[in-house]
Order: sequence, then structure tokens, then C-alpha cells
Amino acid sequence: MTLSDRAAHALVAYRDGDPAALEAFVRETTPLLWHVVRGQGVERDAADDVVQGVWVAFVRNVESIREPEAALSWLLVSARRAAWLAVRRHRGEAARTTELPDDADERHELPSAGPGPEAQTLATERDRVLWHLFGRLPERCQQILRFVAAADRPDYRAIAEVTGMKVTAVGVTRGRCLAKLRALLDDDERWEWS
Amino acid sequence: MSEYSPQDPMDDRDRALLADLGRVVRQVDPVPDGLADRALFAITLDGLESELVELVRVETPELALRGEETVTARTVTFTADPCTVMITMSPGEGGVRVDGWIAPAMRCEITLFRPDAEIHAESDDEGCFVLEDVPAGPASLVLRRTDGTGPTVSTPVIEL
Repeated sequence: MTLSDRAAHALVAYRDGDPAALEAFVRETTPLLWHVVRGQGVERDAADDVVQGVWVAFVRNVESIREPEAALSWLLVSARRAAWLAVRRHRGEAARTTELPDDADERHELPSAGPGPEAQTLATERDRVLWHLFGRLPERCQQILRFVAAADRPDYRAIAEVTGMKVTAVGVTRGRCLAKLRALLDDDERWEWS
Repeated sequence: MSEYSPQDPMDDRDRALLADLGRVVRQVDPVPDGLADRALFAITLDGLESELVELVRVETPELALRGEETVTARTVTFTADPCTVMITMSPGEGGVRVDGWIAPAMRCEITLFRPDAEIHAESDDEGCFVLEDVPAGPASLVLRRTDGTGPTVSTPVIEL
């Protein structure tokens, strides 16, 4: 059973008055939603709230999602939209609280989805190299690869929903992003293919 | 520059690379502890209360920068159309002490929902309130004006 099937199953079971299936599905899918939201550049605290909000909205809309097969798509699209709104709101706040010109350098910029000091948590040089080079990919590539890596073999439709791409563009774009990352790794003398 | 063609199907090396990347992403950006529990609790609360105005957390960058360091007090601000609520959480003798401040100042009945209990308080004329000895874990605050006017507001589920 794919994740999409389990989503449909949880939706139907919940409608039939069995909340246990929903709970299992929430536990299974929350990490995926987290990575979708973070992949859009939302801060960790805000991402926590965004993921909660997506689940609350899902349960509120449980009767209006006509096709159970669309349950996972609904979640992914909602997560991307909610993340986008959170980023926009954050930008608005940042703009309103901008300091005097002298402080401009220290102004908090929007967090990129890429590597930061958090990379210190990586134990091996190999992992740090991978994370560093991943952060040099275009934003769109980071979103796609992060999602593909976090989800268990998502289908093209799911990737399209998370990134806002056309389904027909997914295969080639994913291939292009993987090729870019492989080329960056090849060019880095610290990297060795295992 | 690249010797790889995007048209090629994924090979073993691609799959191994994605597996490595997934592991690294989960390590660098781990899913916060208890997030699924908070989401489930938020679903439960949403079923209990209707017509709530949801407050949105305002980022406090200077605190966020401190990261995982031991921070003895943590301040979070939530805002929405009717009001802004700032709460400071600090360790107390029998649990977490929550000091809150509502702006504009108003008298409110405050309910702190926890998965297995509710704790009640009231704000004073300055909009200040205190909840003492709250056990750690997921919690959400719901605020209602004492005079019954205006909407009921709630915070997202936070970890105390």
C-alpha cells in the first residue's frame, strides 16, 4: 500500500467513525509535511504551527474531500500553500521591523532551505560535504530532492503538488537536479562515492 | 559540465545518493519532538471549540538564535486581529510558570488546555495573568473576554 492509499484509507475510516486510523496516519505523515514546509523556507517554530494547522484544516475538510484518493494531494497542496503564506507573513514582519540602516547587515534574512550552522550536527566529513553542496543547488532543486529524499518514493503527482510544477516536468527536473548534485560531488575532492 | 543526462532513469547511485540525502536532512533538520502529538491535540481542541480566532506566532529572532542552549525563560508572542498575547515560560517549583500579557489590556478568562486537564486563570485590568505549576507537555491557551464581547481566541499548541 502506498502512502496515498493509506491516506485514502484513513480518510474513509475517520468518516466512518474510527479515529484510530487517522491517528496512525497523522503520526506517519507528520514528518513528511514537516519537510515540505521547511523546504519552503519556514522557520522551525513557525513550521511547527503550520503543520498543526494543516492537520486541523484536513479534519475540518474531511467531508468535503470528495475522492479519498485525493487525500494525500490535499495535504501536500495545503502544506505548500500554508508554508508560502507563513513565509510571506514573515517577510512582512521582517520588513516592518527593519532597523536603522546601520543595523541592516544584521537584519534577519529569510532562512534559506540550505545549509547553515546546523550542519555542525553532522558527524562525518562526507555528510557535511553532501549537505554543503546540496545547499548550492537552485532552490527548486533543493525542494524537489528534499521531498523525494524525505518521502518514500513519491510519485510524480505528489512531487508536482509539493513544488507547484507541472507533472510532465517532474521527471526531467528531478533528473536534472540529481545530475547537478552528482556533478558538484564529482568536482569536490573530499567526496568519494561509496 | 555534467556527464549525466537528466533523461536517464534513476540508477543505483541516484538511489544511494537520495538515501544519504534523506539521512542528512533528517539529522540537520529533525522533526521536533512531539510534533505529531501536538497536531493530534490541536485536532482534538478544534473539535471542542468552535468559532475561534487563531493567533499566529510571531518570530522572535534574538531568541531563536540561541538555539539549543539552555534558556531558562522562553518568550513567545502570538497575534491576530483582536489582540496580541505574549507569554513567558519559566521553570517553577512544581512545573512551568506561565506569565502572560494581553494587549490591548483586557480582562479575559483564560483556559490552558492540556491533553488530560484544563487550568483556568483570569487576567487583570492590565491584561496580565499567571498560570503556575503547569506540567510540561503540549498546551494551548484559549482567551475569552470576561464581558463576553469579541471573539474567543486561541494559540497553536506549544510545548511547555
